[in-house]
This record gives sequence, C-alpha cells and structure tokens, in this order.
Amino acid sequence: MSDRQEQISDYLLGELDATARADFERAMSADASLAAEVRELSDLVTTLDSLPDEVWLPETPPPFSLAAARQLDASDETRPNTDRTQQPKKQGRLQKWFADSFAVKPAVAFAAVALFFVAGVGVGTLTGGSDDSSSPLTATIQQAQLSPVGVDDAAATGVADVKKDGSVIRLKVSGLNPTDDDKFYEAWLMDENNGLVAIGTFRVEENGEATLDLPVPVGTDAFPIVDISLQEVNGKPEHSGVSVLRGTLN
Amino acid sequence: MTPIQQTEPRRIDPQLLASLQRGDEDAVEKLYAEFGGTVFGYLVKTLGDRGAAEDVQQQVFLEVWKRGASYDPQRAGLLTWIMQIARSRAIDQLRKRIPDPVDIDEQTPTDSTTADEFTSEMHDKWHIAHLLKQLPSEESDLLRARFYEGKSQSEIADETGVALGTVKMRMVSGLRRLRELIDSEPTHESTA
Repeated sequence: MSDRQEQISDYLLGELDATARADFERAMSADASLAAEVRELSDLVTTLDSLPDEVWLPETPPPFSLAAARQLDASDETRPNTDRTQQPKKQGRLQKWFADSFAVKPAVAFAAVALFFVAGVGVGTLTGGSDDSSSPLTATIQQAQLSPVGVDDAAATGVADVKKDGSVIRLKVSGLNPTDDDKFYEAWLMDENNGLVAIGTFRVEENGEATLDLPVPVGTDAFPIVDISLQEVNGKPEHSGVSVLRGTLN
Repeated sequence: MTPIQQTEPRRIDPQLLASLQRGDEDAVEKLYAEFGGTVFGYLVKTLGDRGAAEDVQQQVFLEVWKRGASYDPQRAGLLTWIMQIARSRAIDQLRKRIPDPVDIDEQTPTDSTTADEFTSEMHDKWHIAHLLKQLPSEESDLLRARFYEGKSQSEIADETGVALGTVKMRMVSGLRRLRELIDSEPTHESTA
C-alpha cells in the first residue's frame, strides 16, 4: 500500500523514470479508482505549480478600523469620480486617515533630515519569527550586513538577503530590544537621496530575534540601503527617524 | 484552473455566524483576523498597488459587516463569500482607473487577458492559498518546499532528515487533504 502511495507521489511530481512511469500507467488503466484519484490530484498539482510566489508569502494586512472604513465610505459617496484621470495611488487613503486622525507632532529631531517619502506603506509580509534556515529560498543575489545605528541597540545585528528574482528579501535580525505593545520595527529600502520605501513591519519577542520574508516593491539597485527603524504605534506612516540597523546591499 | 466540485460548505462557528448576522463589530474583527491576510495578498497582487489595496481592503470588510445579515452559509462558506466580495471590489477598482503605467510583472492584466479574467484567476489562487494554511504544518511545509522552492522529494528528505518514503506519503496525504478542503469550500457560491 505504501509503495503505491509513493508511486502516486512520484508519478504526480514527474519523478518516475520512463519504465516505472509506463508500469504505473498500465496499473492505472486496470484500476479505474486509482486512475480517477491520480487525475484529480494531477489537476491540483498543475494548479499548485501555477501559483504565484506571493501566495506562499503571507501578507500582513493593514490594521482594520470599522470607523475608518465608514469614514472612507462616506467620503467616497460625496467625492466626484475623478479616478479615471488619476495615476495609481502610492499611498492609501487609509494611511492618510490614520495620519489625519492621530495628528502627533514629530518628536524626533531626526525629522529635520529631509527624508523623501516615496511610498510609506507601513505594512509588509511577515512570515514568522523563527529561523527558517531549513527551508531556504533560492540563491541569494544580493546581501546587506546590518549594523547598529544608535546606542540603544548596540548589540543588534542582522542580514538582508535578496532572493529569487529580486522579488523577496529575507531579513534576519538579532539582538534587538523586545518591542512593547506601543512600538514595532519597520524595514525600509532607501536610495542615495534618502528616498524611502517601506517593505514590512514586525515585532520582536524577548529573544530579540526575527526572521521575515519581505516582498520587494522597487528595484534594489535603485534602493540599495536596508534600514530598520523603531516606530511608535501612533498612526503615522512616516519613518520615525529612529533607525536601529542599517546596511547596504552589495 | 482545477475544476471545483460543488459540495457542502464547511461548517461555520454558529456563534460567529449569529454575531455576523446581528451586525456585531466583534464578528468583523474575528473575520479580519482570519481572512484579512489572504484578502490583502489577493488585492495587492490583483491591483498591483499597495495603497489602493489598503483602501479596497477596508471597503471589503466594511461590506462584510454591512451584508452580514444576509449571508447564507448554505450557499457559500465564509471564505468563498468574502473572497467574492473582494473580487467584486477589485474589479470595481480596476475599472475606475486608467491602465497602470507601472510594470509589475508578467502576471498583471495584459491585452490578452482582461482585468476581469485576471481578477478571477487570482481570486481562485488566493482561495487555495487560504486553504493551504489550514493543512497540518508538516504537509503545508512539504507542499511549500516542492511547489514554491522547487525542490525534489529527495532534496526535501535530505534537508529535513525525514525518510524519503515518509516525504512521499505526506505529499500524497497533503494533496488529498487540500483537495478535500477545496471540495468543501468551493471558490464560487452555490446557485442552488
């Protein structure tokens, strides 16, 4: 029985040699129920083979607020429809609603630095906090060693590996201070003019470690600097100005 | 796309169902916790614009809350129902705007595939993505290693230290279980 299961798996995944494949197909022709099951699973294998990579990289959704959604809904009803003449938005109105609703004066002197905010969407793909070295993605095509920026996280370190066709960054950090409920870390890509693109948010437990797969929405040649900031939960999507780790992709 | 059999939708927590039908905000928060990531991933991929996806995400779950009283679990599972709302709002969003000048990748709508077709195709794929999360971890990890990372069964066995025969058995059981989940939560509402 187990041999038959293994043959089914090998057949479905194309791992039988020609002779074994012919034998298995003869067995299927003599067993209608086996043939039906293999056909059904074969359709599923085809579907799984066609899934885009993003399906396997779970998204962390933005925070949901029924009040915010209602307000956006109400504003839609009163706004003339001009979308046909607009370019796609780089910043969601949800973000703007949060920013407008939680107007907090910038508290960090770093804000004086003219950071050009390109697409500050403070949400990314979080795949879990465990070190997943047993299931690596494909080869690293660029890497950045991350070093501490300030004194608060002087023991922190990290590495950012650009994987696959440049569409994913695997970020591994350690030695970071654990985050309270009112703080979180955010990963950014930065260009040489301090233009920023947010690529994901995460929290750190007592062990100070996190491993994440983050989608890359821009070219890392143009945005080669990986920056990790400590953010406050205040509804403001901008970089807080408090960088804790930074490195440049080679 | 894999043909989907129309079978009975999976059972839904009766308390959550009652809460949704009463219009409780807690119900939407619970649904958001369970389905928010899948819906958002689908919207980001379909719209190719994270900002727009954030806005549409809010619209989707507002609509879930507004239409909760009329949700019929006999016609569709919650995943099916919510994903169909997401698909409808994604189509609305795509129809509103001019062609996207951003070159995202080859899977975005092109001249040969209409926005509606692309939206439907992605809908079905994210539906399966959500069901993949419901597999036991040893099976979902295996499917991920094979279908995302492109490893052979022998490579998986070598890297994980799991016997090759066990890898193959789990591969078949994972596929079967996923097939059953798809059958119990079809991608489209029953018209019966």
